[in-house]
Amino acid sequence: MTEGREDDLPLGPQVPYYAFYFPNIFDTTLNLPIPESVSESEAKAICKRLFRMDELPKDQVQSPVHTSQADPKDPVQSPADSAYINTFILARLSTLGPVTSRTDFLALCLGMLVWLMEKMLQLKVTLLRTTGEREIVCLIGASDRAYARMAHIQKLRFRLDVKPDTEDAFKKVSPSTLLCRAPHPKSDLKHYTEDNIDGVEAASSIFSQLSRLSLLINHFDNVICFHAWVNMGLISTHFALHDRKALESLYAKWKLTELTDGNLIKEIRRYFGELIALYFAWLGHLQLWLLAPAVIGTGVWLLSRLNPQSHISLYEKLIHITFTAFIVVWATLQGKFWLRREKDFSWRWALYQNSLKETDYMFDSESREWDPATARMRKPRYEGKRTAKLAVGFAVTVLWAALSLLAQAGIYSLDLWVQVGEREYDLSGLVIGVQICVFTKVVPHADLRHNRGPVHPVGGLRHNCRVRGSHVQQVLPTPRPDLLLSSPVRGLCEGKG
Amino acid sequence: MAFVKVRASQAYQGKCYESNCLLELNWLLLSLFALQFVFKLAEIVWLFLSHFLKQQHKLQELGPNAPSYEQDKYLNAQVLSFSTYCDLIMNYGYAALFAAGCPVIVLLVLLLTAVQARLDVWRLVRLSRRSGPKTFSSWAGANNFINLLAVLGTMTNPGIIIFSSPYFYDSGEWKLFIFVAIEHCHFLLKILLENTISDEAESKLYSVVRMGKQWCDLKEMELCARLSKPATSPTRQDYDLPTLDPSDKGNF
Repeated sequence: MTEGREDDLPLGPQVPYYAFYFPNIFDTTLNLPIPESVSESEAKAICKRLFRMDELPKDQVQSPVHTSQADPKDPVQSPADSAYINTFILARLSTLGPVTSRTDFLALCLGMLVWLMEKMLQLKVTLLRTTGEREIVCLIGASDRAYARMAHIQKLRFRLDVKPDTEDAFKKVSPSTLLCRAPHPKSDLKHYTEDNIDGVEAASSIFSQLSRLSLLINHFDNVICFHAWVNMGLISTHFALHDRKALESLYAKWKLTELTDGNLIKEIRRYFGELIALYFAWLGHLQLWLLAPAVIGTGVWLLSRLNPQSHISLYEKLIHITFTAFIVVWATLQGKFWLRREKDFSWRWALYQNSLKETDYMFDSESREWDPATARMRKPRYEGKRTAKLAVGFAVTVLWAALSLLAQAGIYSLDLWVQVGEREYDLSGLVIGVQICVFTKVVPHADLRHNRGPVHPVGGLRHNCRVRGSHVQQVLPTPRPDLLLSSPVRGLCEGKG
Repeated sequence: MAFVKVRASQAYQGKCYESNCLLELNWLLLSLFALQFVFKLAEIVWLFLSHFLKQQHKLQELGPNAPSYEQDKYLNAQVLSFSTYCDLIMNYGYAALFAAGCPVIVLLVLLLTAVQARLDVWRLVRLSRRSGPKTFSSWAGANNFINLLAVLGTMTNPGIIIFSSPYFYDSGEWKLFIFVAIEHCHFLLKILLENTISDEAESKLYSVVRMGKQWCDLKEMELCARLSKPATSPTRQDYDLPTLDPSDKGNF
């Protein structure tokens, strides 16, 4: 851990990717939900909440399965390893008597967090004072070796520098390199490259920025409950750090290039991740596909405006009917080609691996998430709340629609007219337009119509989505010791072959 | 809406404005989109005033040599909201459902989408913190909704032309027959297209990827053997992790 003031962050693979801001705990004016003196049981209860220990089964925590002598079969740093870490935290807490000062207790918690990150998770921690010294910032990075370890633990897939020599079909679609599991921590990393077809960025590390960030967040998210830290005011904010140089370079391209450019989408994905890249890919796709109907539609509209209604020819009828058919064809093709494009991206970015690997997610009609404590799949903890939210959201939407219709009836009953010259214009359409705009703008912000689930502190790593009709709660590669250990490949992979 | 109108308004007495419901739909959609542009403009002004200028002010307070991690702190936490995406899909829905009634709205949807895209880029780069990596494989829910809109479009578009426009006023009782015929033709055309341009390529790709994955596993085994990995599973030492003693109750 380095202390002091650094204006220029070190470059290289150890560059920090995440920052935590701690408030100045010696500031007595802070309104924290912690009493002035903390009893032993209270201190333990708070620490359990902060370090996800209350999620573990009692037997796993109270009777340590891991001893100081490392067991060769120990699923290292897997979810079960949370128990290992927590055993140490509990062991240390057992010596903890009542804490007489709140400041001491806060210092203890922060000290434990830094110790955990640096010693147990083997991350590079840099503590700095912010300008004005009102806060302390903790910058988190890791070495390449540490990233390799995380990749192995989290089952990130890599590419092997081997060319396929079987399966003609596979040859056609496969890139020059192949996917494989992350390297063994002791293996030579030069055989491995980045986990996507789009190639690696020119860096000393084999990991892209995106991979590093993802690995890092997943790594400490297993043992640290951010919600609790933030709710108790022990962390004022935490976020991923921008890489200014990369961002400016991306923005320069972004301003000049159309969103339909595949290379730009790759760049966006490398920096911001798949969700945002897919969003912009969809925007680009939609704009491209709207061009033709926009031009044709404007032509048809002008034609109907120019021609008086009293002289409607068969020719004009045919134009409108043809345009209707064109819109139907356009809407169908647009949806179809987007689906194809999305699948293409999904394959190119190796997103399919998640759905391939997590087979029990794919065919499970109910949502499940990986429980790090019990090492089994479980229903998400907010499942009950989700159903309730859905029900309330549906009721609110129905109520909103009814209100909307009522408002429309009210507006029409007013018979709003305005006379310009000799002609009278109906203002109801305009007022209805305002009403629709307001209603559609307000409802999404009511936050009930969309069931978002709990907001994850690290920003959607446990993103809700659907894979093959099943609701998938967790898509990012997560440690799955049951699969990892039972896999015959693993045994062979690690030397038995 | 027409159903509500003819019952609520005394002046219309069961008729559309100037007995032309298509004109009324045009008027409604155009005013709706004009208002959307006004809302968008207001959003840009609001973002500029409430976020951009505020951030600039804070950065000036920090000084010109403020480290990047401190600059990032003053950026917005929320990157892109789901409501933005909903707005875009709704606009697409207007185009897919009512383009036959007001063909020019497709152009307006295009303009709105282009404005939204540029606004999002600016917001993402200049106003927002870096988002955590959000990995997922598909906009599956939204895709289903878009497909549903396309299906509904096969009915609404011919319906508008046949029942609401003046083009088929003289068709009398044949209107329903013409509508059913056109709607069925459209629906058949849609089904034909969907089956002709199938997902076969992607499905094949998917199965090939599955196949390839198995093949990779084999290759991986070979390579692992070649690299002469240790015979045991990775241990704590392999990961260079400390082996701590739980009985050690020292300070940390």
